[in-house]
Amino acid sequence: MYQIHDPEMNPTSDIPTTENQPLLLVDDSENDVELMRMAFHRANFNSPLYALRNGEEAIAYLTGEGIYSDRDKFPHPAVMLLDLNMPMKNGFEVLAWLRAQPEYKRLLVIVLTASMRSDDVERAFELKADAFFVKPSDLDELTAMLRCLRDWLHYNHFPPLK
Amino acid sequence: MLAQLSRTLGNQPRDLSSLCLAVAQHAPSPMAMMEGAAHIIRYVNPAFCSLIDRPAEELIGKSLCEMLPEKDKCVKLLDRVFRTGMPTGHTEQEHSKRHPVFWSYTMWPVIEDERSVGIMIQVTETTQFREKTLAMNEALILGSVRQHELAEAADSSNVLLQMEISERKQVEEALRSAQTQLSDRAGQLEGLVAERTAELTATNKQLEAFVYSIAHDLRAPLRSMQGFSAMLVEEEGAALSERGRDFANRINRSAIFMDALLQALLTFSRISQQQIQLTSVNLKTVVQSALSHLEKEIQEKAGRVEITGLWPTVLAHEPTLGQVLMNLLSNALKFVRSDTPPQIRLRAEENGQFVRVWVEDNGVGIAPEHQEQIFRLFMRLHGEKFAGTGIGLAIVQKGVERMGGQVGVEATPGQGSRFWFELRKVEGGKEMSDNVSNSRSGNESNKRYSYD
Repeated sequence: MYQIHDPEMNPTSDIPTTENQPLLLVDDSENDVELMRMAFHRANFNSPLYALRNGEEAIAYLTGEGIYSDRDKFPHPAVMLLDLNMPMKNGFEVLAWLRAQPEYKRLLVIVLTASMRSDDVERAFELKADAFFVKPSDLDELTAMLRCLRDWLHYNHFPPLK
Repeated sequence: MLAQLSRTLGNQPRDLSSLCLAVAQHAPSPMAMMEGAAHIIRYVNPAFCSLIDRPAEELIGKSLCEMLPEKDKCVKLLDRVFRTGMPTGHTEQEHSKRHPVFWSYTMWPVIEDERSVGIMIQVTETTQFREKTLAMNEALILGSVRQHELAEAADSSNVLLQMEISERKQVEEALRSAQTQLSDRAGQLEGLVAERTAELTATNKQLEAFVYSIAHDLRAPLRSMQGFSAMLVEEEGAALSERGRDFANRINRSAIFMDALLQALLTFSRISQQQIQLTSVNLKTVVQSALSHLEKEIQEKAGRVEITGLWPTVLAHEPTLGQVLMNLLSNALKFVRSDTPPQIRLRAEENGQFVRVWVEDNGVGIAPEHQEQIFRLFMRLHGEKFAGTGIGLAIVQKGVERMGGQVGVEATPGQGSRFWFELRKVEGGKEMSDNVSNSRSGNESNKRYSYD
């Protein structure tokens, strides 16, 4: 994960990292969304964060439906933080839909949920989630988690999104 | 015989008729000769006389019919023989009191010039006939009585046998029907058991889902309470009075505690409910993993952990065993006097087919009357002094039980506690002693794992 500093090597600057790319937060709990914003702030996580209340809204955002057609205002995300238990299409349904779309096959999806059930973990990875984070009850821990995610995104390179 | 005959007859010239006469005279069989249709007796031999018990003079010249008791029958016979010239045989029974005899005789005609002139009677069997017959009869009667008795006995024993057989048949029937009932009942019970098991499984699943969703949904508001009260102090703390900050901190701590309670309950519920498969588990690995999870706390409290003895492979469920060890070690770190750094000794010993793991501490100890209670759910002995959910040991007990083992404690107040649990040993498993490498460097002096 360490970048090898070699002046002769062409730095991989034309391939962007996922740092500062938009994040989509899909969660039906207003409180949890608010806590996430606070934790983002405490973690010095500067990526733009867009919150959606349920699965249907998430799909609408991704397909550019309605108000979401304005891609300046609502850019394509690089990462999605996806809750599982939501009304109007839950996390699993969003995942299933997502991986069927060619342009979103590589969207980084981190399931972020309060559930710790092994069945849910199993199912999430069956549906090709990339990670499964459990919402910590402690704000400090949540901050640490986001800090970690921020660092990871700093080092990760994605192929450019269309 | 001829000599005797000649003496009897004297020395007279012998002609055939005198020879025949001699024969008749000496015959043991009673003989008599009758003449004419009236059957006049002309000759009787001595045997005949002694049979009738009358001298010859009384008989000769008289009709035989007069002599005989059953006149009619004999007369008829005599007449027939005389008339037809055909011999005949007969058996007669005489009912005379004086001579109760059976007569068996033959009579044939004396033929001259092709016509009967007389009849010859020869008695062939008499005396003792009746006696013999009676005796025979008696014997027969006896025999038949006996036979009757035997038959009766046979019958009655037959009846008894029949009864026995029918009884036995009844018993067999009863047995068979009982067996049928039993197997029916067993089938019913099996069906019931299957039903109940299915019900229970369904109920268990429901319970699992229920407990899970309760804990899950209860934790969401706690997240908010904890997070926002923390932020209240952090971001708005300056605008609050000290009292206000204190309130916010209390809210925060309560939320944290309740969350810990819920997590412990979730763990307890999971350990009680889930299907687990027991496998061979390397005890030492699990111990070290538990210790590494508690690393931070051990360091903070300047604790020391010692691991001694041989550590065999056990039959267990690794995650559950990990939880058990975590809880026991966590307790050992927690329940010490505030001025005393915790010292923990972990050792394993073989106890027949089981392995007993000891977690010994230098903590506050447990009074004998509490040593059983502490494993109960929500049981906290030191409510205010030591923080805790009161669920940790309940989890330990339930976890060990589900792995087929037992748990216990030896403790003295003020002199530390020695918790133990037993798990089945796995034969042929590797015994780990001090060859396992410690992934943590032992540089920090306030934390040490020492191995024998």
